[in-house]
Amino acid sequence: MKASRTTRRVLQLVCAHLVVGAALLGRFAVGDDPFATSLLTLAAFAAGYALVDLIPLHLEFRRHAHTITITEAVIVASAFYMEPAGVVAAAVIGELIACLKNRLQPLQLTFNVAQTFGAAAVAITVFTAVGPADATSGRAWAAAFAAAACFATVSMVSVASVLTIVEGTAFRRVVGVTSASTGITALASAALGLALLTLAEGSAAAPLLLAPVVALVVLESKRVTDASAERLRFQRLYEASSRTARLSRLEEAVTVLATEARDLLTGAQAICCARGDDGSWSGVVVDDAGSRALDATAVEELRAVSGNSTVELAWQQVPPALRAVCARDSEVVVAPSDPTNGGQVVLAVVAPHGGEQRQSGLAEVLSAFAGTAALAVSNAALYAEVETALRHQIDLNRQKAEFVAAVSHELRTPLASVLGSVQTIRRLGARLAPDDAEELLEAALSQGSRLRRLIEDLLLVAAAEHRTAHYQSDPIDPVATLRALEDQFRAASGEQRLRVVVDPDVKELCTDEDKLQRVLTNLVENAVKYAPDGPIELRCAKLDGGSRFTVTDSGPGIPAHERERVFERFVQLDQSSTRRQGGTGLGLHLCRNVAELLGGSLIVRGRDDGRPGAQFVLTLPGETAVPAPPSEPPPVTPKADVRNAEPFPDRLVAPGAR
Amino acid sequence: MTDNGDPMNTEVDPIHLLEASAQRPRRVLVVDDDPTIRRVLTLNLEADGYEVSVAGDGDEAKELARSIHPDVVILDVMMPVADGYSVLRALRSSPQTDDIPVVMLSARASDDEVFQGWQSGADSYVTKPFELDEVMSLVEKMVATADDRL
Repeated sequence: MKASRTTRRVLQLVCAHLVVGAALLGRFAVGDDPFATSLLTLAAFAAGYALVDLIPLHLEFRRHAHTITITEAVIVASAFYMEPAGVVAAAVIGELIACLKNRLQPLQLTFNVAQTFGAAAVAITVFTAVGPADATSGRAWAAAFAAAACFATVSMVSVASVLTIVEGTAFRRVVGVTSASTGITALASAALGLALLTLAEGSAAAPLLLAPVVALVVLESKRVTDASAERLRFQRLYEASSRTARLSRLEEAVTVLATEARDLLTGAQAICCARGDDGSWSGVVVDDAGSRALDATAVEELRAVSGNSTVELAWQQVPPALRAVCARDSEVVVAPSDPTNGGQVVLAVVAPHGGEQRQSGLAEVLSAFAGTAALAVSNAALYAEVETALRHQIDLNRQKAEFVAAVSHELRTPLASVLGSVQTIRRLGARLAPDDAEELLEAALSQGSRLRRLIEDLLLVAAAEHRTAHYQSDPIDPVATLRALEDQFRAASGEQRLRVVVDPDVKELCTDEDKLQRVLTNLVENAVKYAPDGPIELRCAKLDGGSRFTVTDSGPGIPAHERERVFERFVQLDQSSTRRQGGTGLGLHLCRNVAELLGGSLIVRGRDDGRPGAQFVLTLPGETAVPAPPSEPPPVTPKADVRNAEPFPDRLVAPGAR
Repeated sequence: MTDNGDPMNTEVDPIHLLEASAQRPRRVLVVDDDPTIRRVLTLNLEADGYEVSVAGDGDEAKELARSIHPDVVILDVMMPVADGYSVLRALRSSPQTDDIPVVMLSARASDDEVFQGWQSGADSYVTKPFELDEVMSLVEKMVATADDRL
């Protein structure tokens, strides 16, 4: 719809030109011979017109490059030789030849010819009105300048109108940009036409004197063209570079870079291959249909074919897998980024064979852009890296804050009980029944102990996490240790479910008794809390080069995927039950860290008899008999002292301890 | 009502309190999953002449609040089953219980948590470990305010 409407409006413009031109020409009385001069003259001027139209000159004016033609010179010169109709005919024929030579589309051709017809008719009307006698008179100059000015003005207005219709450019803007160069050109052309005419009056060969000047002008025009094309290329390179400077994801970056490379070289397709963080290469092809991944073989071929330098490949040189991607009979420019500078990008642009306006220097532009692309890709990688690190840091900070909040809560709760009990005893004094007072004292003591244990646990965890805790490696009797533990549980909490089993071949064991007890106590307490029913078994067995302690309960057990998580600090699988049980959430984390500190390990698994329940397995090295003595005595106190949680410069390392 | 409105007065004479309210002893509901805290608050409140009911978790607290309609609720935040905030919301959403003054009691003491506590619609927020005298005077003040309203 839009296209046909545009066409219609252009055709209306064409008609306007034809009507104006015809009306003006009709005013001239058609004499006996409208073409008073010979057809040869007509042909000569038509050829001249076509020639100047085909050699456009380029000039720079106010930092704009303008393309101009000096057709006015031919119009002016021919006006002295031919009747008005002849002048217009020569111009129209010349324009037609030029258009055909430039292979313009029918609509463009129609417009150009009509516009020439109209403009030439206006110009010759003005020329005739001034009515010069001969080329050397003053009136001749006035007539020539007026005619040239009219021709140029009509042309400019026509072109501005048609651009407004076809490209939607603002009419005033086109006129504003072109009016100065048009005016200068018109006057210069008229002068040139008259000068040629005057010289030709004297001698037919005289105009040849101007040949060197013309040659100079043409050469200069060529230089201006090249320079402006080069500037344009660099401007586009710069723009493409600044657009790609802030890419943040590799996949996105590769696609954007390929798109930019394609636009930069106005290719049909473009490929961007880049090396990822892991050293693997991947590529993307971009064309009119969008972007898609390039298969690995083609990526390899592209890297192999480019080597370390930019290459231009003819269709025969394109490797097979790459051929499958490219349009048939294309030419491919391949540019790798500087290998000494990371060399992690290869760009390729595919253009149709012998494409129009095949410019030189495209390979250099692509090569330069490859450098930018490599920078963009490493920026994207760096960005991703920083983002990951930052996210990790934020996670760590959050965990730390959560840890502090949890510790604060865990410390405050028993402290509230202790202080509340003591304050009550003092506040109520004699009003308090002796039994109640006794109960409060008991509570204060037990909560105080809980607080103390929590603090010790915290310090031990901190020390064990940093492997700075000291520990003994003494021969101990596991049987006695376990029996003591059993008695302690029975006495303290009336817990009757604990059963201790020691395999008969278990003998002496070299480890830190205090810490072993701490771990086993925690594991048994854990079982008491989370397995409210059924027996709890604590078993000790001998292993090759160590011993194994298992704590087995008959509770609900722990799902396989959660088993590692229970050892993280302050992780409670069931928040509400932990609250109910009053756990610190530190127990199992502490147990594992201490087990590792002692050179052993702690895992949890399902019961080996397949029944529901959890089984914690503590494995410790340092079998029997030969105690592994520390290389030197502990520096502070012979007993492990978790209160010295600060790093010791000369900490002891037991066999197997990390 | 000479002494009851004075926040500085922390020692409350139970006889005086009974005189002031005339009809019945004031009822306080203590909600905490820690038995020691429940015991401590109960002993002190009873000694000051209040009638005390206790609940060990949030659901029990909601039930009791509806059935006994206490004059003041002392409410722990972190509890199993239903936490203190959910109890508070339940109290505030029912017309029977929405006017009961609530003292939140919590071991969550970071700035954010205290702010959240004050924002929750509780009448007061006290962090553990608490000053017993402070809690007792808060309860007293709330009972007095409720009396003023009558």
